Amino acid sequence: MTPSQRTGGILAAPAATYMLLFFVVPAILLFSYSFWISSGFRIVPDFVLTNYISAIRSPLFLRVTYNAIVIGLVTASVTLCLSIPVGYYLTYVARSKIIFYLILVTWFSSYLVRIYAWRTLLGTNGLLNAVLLQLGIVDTPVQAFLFSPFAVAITLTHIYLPFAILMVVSAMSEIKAELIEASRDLGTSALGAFFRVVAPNAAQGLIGAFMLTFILVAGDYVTPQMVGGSSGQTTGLLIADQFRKTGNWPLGAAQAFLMFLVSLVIYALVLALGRLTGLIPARRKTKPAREVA
Amino acid sequence: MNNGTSAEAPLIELSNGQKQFGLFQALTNINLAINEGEIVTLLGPSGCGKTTLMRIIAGFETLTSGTLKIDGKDVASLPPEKRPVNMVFQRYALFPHLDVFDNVAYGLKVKGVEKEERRRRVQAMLRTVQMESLSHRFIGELSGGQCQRVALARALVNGPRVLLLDEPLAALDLKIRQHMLGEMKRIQLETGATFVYVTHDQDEAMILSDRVVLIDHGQIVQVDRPQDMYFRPRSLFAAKFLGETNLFEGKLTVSGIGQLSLETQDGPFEVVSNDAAVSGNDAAVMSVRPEAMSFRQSNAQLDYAVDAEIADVIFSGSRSFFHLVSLGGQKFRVQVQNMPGAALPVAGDKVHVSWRKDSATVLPLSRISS
Amino acid sequence: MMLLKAVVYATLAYLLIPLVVIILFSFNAEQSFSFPINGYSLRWYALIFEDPQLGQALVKSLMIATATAIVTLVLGTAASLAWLRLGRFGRSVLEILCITPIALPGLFLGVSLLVLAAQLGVRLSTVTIVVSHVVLSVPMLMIAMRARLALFDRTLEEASRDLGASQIGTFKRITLPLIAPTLISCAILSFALSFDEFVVTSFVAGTETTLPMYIWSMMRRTVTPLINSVSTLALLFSIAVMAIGFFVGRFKRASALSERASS
Repeated sequence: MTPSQRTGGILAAPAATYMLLFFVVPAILLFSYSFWISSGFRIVPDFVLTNYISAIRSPLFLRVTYNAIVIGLVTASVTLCLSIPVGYYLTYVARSKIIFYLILVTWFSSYLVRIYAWRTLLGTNGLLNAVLLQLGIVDTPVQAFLFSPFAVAITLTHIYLPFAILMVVSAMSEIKAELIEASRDLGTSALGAFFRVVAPNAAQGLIGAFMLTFILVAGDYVTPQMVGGSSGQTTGLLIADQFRKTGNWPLGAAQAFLMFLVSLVIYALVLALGRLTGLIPARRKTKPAREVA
Repeated sequence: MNNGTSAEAPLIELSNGQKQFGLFQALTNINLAINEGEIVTLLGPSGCGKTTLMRIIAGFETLTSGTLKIDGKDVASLPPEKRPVNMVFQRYALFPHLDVFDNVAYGLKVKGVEKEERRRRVQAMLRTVQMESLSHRFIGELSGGQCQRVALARALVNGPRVLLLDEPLAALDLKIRQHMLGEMKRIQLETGATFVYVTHDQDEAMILSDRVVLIDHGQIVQVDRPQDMYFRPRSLFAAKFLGETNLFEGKLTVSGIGQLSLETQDGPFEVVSNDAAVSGNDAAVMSVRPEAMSFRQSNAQLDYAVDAEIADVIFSGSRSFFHLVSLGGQKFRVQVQNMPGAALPVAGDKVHVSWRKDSATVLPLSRISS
Repeated sequence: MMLLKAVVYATLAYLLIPLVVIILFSFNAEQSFSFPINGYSLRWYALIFEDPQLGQALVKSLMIATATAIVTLVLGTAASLAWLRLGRFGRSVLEILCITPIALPGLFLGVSLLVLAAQLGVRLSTVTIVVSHVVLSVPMLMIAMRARLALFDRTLEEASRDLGASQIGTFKRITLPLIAPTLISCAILSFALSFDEFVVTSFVAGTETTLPMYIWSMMRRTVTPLINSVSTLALLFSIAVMAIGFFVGRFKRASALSERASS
């Protein structure tokens, strides 16, 4: 270790200790909690799978988890599909500062306010119904917009889209515009250049944006509570209720880790899908071996 | 080692210097003395340890063993800021939040030099590097060559005993590079500072230096004046690293009392050089510079000669380059100064090529095989 | 290309319309949420000042945000200086510890901190809120700093030592001036993040009420246009904080640019 690295270690200590204490330790504690049992008003250390088993056996848990997965996948897909053109536009077409700032403004505008805004927009007398009535598409206000999985998805997309756009922009800004020009020069269309050059090189960032949106959406509990109604409930709300009300903490912990597991499975599936479609470059492992031999 | 004949103690003296990074031996057995007022170049391929050696002198690295004296004092315990040396960094490392003047004034400021004095010295130095008119520019607004001048001024204004330069021209265009080489020589004469210059470029080394320290794999291979190193390389590595050379490979046999002969594909060459570190039964090479060869008739007493066929001729203005294959199958090159109207052989011609015996060096092949 | 532009502008409209609607309704003269709006007034803004609880929540949020920004700045400055000096392994450890939380739902962080507090027997208070907000803002700071420091030329520090400045002098004269703009804009962003934080706060606040928590209770309790005016002010506040952040960021960009030019 060089002296400079020793200084580095000392300087890193406060932040590292802080995160260890208030992030890693609590996470481990929560994981242990999922094996403990709650009896009466006390939580007793134990090592049982009761919580996991009762979570999986609960029809409510299965229903809201299904909801969370569907809403999560839809939201993440829509978010990615919208953030790619915007990211592409901001990186290669017009480096518009105004658009960039507007996106930042949305990102930093209050989370609760945005949920509230959608409740106003989607309500029976909301903007959406007003527009639809005006255009004559519907005769009577549609009641079903609010308090539905649709409302949850459109609100969550609104909440996480700015962040996804910023991630996509940062992934794309590492790919030089010359690469696209070279690809066009070699005979691919603009769209072809995106799929053959931009997407494979930005794959990590794009998948990162998708997965992050999925994880954050699946863990969101405020939006389902405010605009989800009974059909739009997700696992996040179920878990939150276990901890907010006089619920069963160990059961809540088990549910949280089951949701975590679901996210991992989805991640693996997305990676597999990406490789299958060739959007993620697969490294040929045999090649270097042949060169050595 | 050629340390010159000055009676004074050397300004920098390294003895038995070793440097290890973990398991990697970066420098082995370094003995080097640098005198006041010299321009010394540390020359070698990338990764040879020349930059490490410079950083040890500057104080950014410490020797694993051995001693380093500057001005007769052991400086092992001195941090960089306490050493009477200053450095010009490879990419200049100019402070982007300060303008040209403040960059140059930085060293004097941290040493607490009084304001008026500081101003006077900075301005004088900016004049020396011809940057006084741009003293309030920010670093981002300067060209590469201008950055170079500021970096020189920032180091020299502190009046260092030794100025260390780490490949200072590597980031510049060829043309500016040549111009800056001249400038650097002028500034060195004006300030009288001792320059230790790190480069991997043999041309820079030969143009600039009083002495060249050739380094390979963490060891000093040869220390000499540029012309001695060019014409009298002590190793195959030195012969190949500086300039271009033709190598005739063969085996040394004893051909008489105290006489060696190099048996090559093109017959035997009597070895006259007695300083060659070679003996009988060694594999060896004869190194000859292309410009030392010519197409004139040879004198058996003074010259070596081979018969060859010309494969290709490249005309390059003042000179022509001939690619040849000897009757023994050896490929080599000859360089000839062009004269108006001179008749030169063409491709396909059979020619007799000769060179003076004292222009060739016989070198052992086994010691360094790079 | 026209299609691309259309998609971009449609997306922007989708992002901005909800915010515009909230602002419009905050000036609505009537206590209704239906279109069209039949008149404008400032009555909902006047109501804000008649609600003492709202004022208390605001003060509490400002205090928490300030504390969060300061703690984040101290931890983050040390961590960024460390990042510059660490080897590859050290950097990875630091990054895993300090960046991972950004990839986890607030729910998870909130619940795990709640469990920790319960296990240690710590009473939930303003302190636990600040602790949780720092866990959220350190990752953001580390991401921003990492991007900034990747451009940082460490030979600048060596040059300063070479010219006679001590380690501390070098930090004061070279390192800090170069990274300060990013650090300050990160601190401002931490402030904004903490000021708006609700998800984690709701688990670790105990009986404390921050502004977002008060807005939340208003949202659940009643449907009142007061929420619109409060939200509009919160929105304007966020934008103002961000504008300050960018004002500082302009220096950051200028110095980053010139640094790139010099290398």
